[in-house]
Amino acid sequence: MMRRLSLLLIIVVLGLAEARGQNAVLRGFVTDRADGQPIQGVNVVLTDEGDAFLGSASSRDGVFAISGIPPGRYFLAASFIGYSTHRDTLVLEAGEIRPYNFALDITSGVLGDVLVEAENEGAGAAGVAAGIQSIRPRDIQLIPSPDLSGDLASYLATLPGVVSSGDQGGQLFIRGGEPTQNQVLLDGILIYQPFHLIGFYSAIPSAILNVSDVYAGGFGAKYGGRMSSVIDISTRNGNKQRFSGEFSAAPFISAGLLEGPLIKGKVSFLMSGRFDVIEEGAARIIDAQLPYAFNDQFIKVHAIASENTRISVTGLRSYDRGILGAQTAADADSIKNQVTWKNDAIGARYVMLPTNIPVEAEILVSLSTIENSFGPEATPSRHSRAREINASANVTHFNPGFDIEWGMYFKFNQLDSELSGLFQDLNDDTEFISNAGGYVQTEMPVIERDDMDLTVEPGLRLSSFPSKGRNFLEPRARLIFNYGMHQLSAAAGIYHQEFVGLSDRRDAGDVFTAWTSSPTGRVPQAIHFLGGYQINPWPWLTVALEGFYKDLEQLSVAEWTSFPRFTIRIQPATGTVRGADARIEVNAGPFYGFLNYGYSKVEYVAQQTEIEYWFGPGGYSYSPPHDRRHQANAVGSLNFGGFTLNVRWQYGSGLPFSEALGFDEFVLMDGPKDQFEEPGETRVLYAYPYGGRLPDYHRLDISAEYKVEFGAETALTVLASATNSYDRTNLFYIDLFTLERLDQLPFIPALGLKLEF
Amino acid sequence: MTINHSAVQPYPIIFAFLATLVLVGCDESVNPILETDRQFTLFGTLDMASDSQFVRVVAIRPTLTAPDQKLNAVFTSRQADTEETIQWTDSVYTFEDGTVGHIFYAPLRVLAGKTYLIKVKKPDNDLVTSAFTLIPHRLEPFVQIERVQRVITQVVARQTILWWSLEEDPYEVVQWYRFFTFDNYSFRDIALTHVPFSEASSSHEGFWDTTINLVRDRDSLLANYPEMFVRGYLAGLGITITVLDDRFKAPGGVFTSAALGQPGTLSNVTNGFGYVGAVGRFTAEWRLQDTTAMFLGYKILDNEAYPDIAARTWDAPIGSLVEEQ
Repeated sequence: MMRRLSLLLIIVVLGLAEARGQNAVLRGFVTDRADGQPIQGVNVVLTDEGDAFLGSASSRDGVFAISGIPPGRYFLAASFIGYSTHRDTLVLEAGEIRPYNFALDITSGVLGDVLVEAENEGAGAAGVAAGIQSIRPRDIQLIPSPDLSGDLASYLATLPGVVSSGDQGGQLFIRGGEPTQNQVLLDGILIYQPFHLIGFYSAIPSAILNVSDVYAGGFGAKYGGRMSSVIDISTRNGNKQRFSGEFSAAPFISAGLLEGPLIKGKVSFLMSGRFDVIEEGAARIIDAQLPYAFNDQFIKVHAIASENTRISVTGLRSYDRGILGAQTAADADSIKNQVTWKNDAIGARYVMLPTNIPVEAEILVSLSTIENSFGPEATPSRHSRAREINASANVTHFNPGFDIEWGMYFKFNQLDSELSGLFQDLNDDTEFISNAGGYVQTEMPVIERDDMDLTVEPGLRLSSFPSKGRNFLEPRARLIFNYGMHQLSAAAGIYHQEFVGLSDRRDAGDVFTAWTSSPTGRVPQAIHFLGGYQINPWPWLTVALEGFYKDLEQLSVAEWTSFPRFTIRIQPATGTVRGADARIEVNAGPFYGFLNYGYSKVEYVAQQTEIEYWFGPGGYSYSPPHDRRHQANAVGSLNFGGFTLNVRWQYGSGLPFSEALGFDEFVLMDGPKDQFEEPGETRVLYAYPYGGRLPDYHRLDISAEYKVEFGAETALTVLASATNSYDRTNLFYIDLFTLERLDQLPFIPALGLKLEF
Repeated sequence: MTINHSAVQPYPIIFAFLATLVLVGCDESVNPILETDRQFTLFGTLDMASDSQFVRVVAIRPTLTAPDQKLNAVFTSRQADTEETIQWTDSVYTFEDGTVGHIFYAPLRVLAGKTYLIKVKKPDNDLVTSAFTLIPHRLEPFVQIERVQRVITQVVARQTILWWSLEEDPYEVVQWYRFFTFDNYSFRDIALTHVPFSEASSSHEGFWDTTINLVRDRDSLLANYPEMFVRGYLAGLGITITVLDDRFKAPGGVFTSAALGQPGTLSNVTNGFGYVGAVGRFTAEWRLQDTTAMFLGYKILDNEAYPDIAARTWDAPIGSLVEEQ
């Protein structure tokens, strides 16, 4: 505790020292004049009449800060793609901390004349840097989908290393990690299960998105509590100048969004709602059983409380209900196999730039809940609920040459489960677990030259679970080296996950997830290493390569058994994930597209007691059901004659599954037996666990959009799309016991309309 | 170096990549049930103590559904030394839970130390599911003379039995006392299980022994069968040990479904699964010395007065054991 306090003191003293020193600090918010949105990636540059050159790029909240400015007269230029350059002349006094907020106007121009940093790192399909990729709404719009609202889930499924359960199930595995090992944050608020049962959709429509940073591994010390990946989503603020909105209708969902000022120029709201229309739409088009229902609602209120502070309140609800594997109308009505989940999340965020010290401070309070059930919704046979109350503070400390970020948090978790013996090792009970900790990380420029720069980002995170008597110290580090058109990046870190989601992965059709604290008594741990290379040989081409390795410890997997049982026991396992991605991004006039290929090998080594008898000492190594070895995605978008044509082709090699030699009855031969007394137990004569591979997956989706504008602010967009255009019969899963196969969605033609105003 | 940007176009790269990928991955069929030469699963034991043998035969099937009542199989056994071959008979048996199984049986008394080959095949198929099993070799007992000591007011009386060539604990040990009563002119066996045999037993190089606590046995019998001390006469006592064949061992030392359910675990079946084991049962029978018996409070028969009873002492089958209450 004393060490933490000391660290805090040092940082604060550093800040005060800066404030008292001879150098000045310039910081403020950059917004879009048209709607008041913060703009990320704006390059703010100060030059004097000599050679002095100081610069900074704005953050997600539009915050920029330039510190270490010697007193004097400066010319300020702030530029961003698509906006006119903002210019000003400033005279800064010694020791001054100058608040400076400004707005940019949209122009049809391209680049400003001064550029410190093109955009945030990791922007663009091939713009991956040390595991980070930023996804913007316009990226999502490139992905053909059967509706016009666009969705993050569709884009994520095109990333190499991201394995989706397909059109159904709502499960995403990122670089070998289980869905519950991914952390999804929406404006800093935890969303436990952000994906809908229909794989095209998440609970987060693209229309509310500002930017999403996907950390496929090697994430920094700011993030914790999950061991595989982080998807950090920031949402747009509502328009502070005028009311606007959009409505869309298509075979899967109807969506609506409204935004506008509550107090013009000061307070805005943004609300969105989407509701499935599967029964009336998609199910009729393809004449198949699609017993799914889902919806999501989002609301955000954002306020400019003062020149230096911003406050926002964000809320999200989502609901999913469905029966996976329904082949017949009777299956679709069989609610005993129905899975349901509900997300509720609400949070308040306060961002301030104190007048006396050169820091940006963020205070976040949030409440997140997931409820997951199996069986009839009113009387489920299994039920699990997880709830997290979070209070955290994040501070970015602007120092000359480098920034320091640090933060503290307190979380309170409640876990309830009624599992009807699904997991034989888990008792139905309620757990209350508190968790406190903090982190510090910095971005240190080691080399800064005109032709090259090297930045190192070391970090350290401390997590403490007093009720469990557990403390974790997690060092993290990232490195970015730029040399001309080349970029090298690397990241490494240690990660722990106290709360785990358990699913019966023996059955692809069972997506019920039970949340619990580490069931084997040991906390899952991962160690990540990754390294990448990126090059821009021509202006229209970016090529990126990235390799990664994850070492996984203390995993909980279903115990292997040859008997067809509805309950499972948990067994400990270790694992490794290794792989590499290659990405090519092309931006050539009216054409934009990208290709990517991902190789990944996920291996688990199960530690079940009996394994030694079956496969020898050392556990048995197998490929879990999400080990997709090869993946490729090709996405193209072409604008011509007012039309936008989007094409996506996805390929994934087959996923592992367990083959069998047949079935028999098993009699336990534990000595001389009276054979007339023992009927035996039906047994599956499995070959090696997960030794088989399902057929490869591939699909072509095409969409064409045409936008008709009525005046400056009203437009109608018409969409025609063909999902799974060549009607590939992609397998979702096959039931070993009935030999019935459940396929992914067939060819789906769709028409959609979107009205924007 | 000057690069002519217009000479490098993205489109050929894209189309070449797409064409390569489209050519792969066109097979969409899948069958989770692999083809196999394994036809049957066999469970059973060849038991030295039985004059008929029984083995369960389960057909390996490609679907989960229970097999129908027909099992088209020919089951034979052959003794390796004599090559005597016996064809077994199928019995379609309905278990208590209503399921049906095929239990093949044959009138056959298996011999210690002999190897038997089980073969099961379909009449229209040359593929044979088979299992070799070796009946345990005969074990010879050696009964030591009882040791009786008086320690102050207590009496200690013990007797040790050695089994040559047995170097590990047998699967089962049953100790019993045999009484004769004039009520119906018959023998009665009472089994004692209150002494865990492992407590008083130990393995040695070349033999295994167990020690009987005669005083504790007497106290137990007196408490539970007092009539035997009034109307009964101690005719003798004995131990029967059951041993399994050398390969009939649980992995990890404990027989559980979880461990043995994995196909291929504890299996001696070729082209199939399951286990056909062998069971040897060996008995040691003896009398206490008259002085010891009377010292412990038992009544004993005058063998000279009743020579016919004495002669029949060991004729009664041991199967009539009465479990201790």
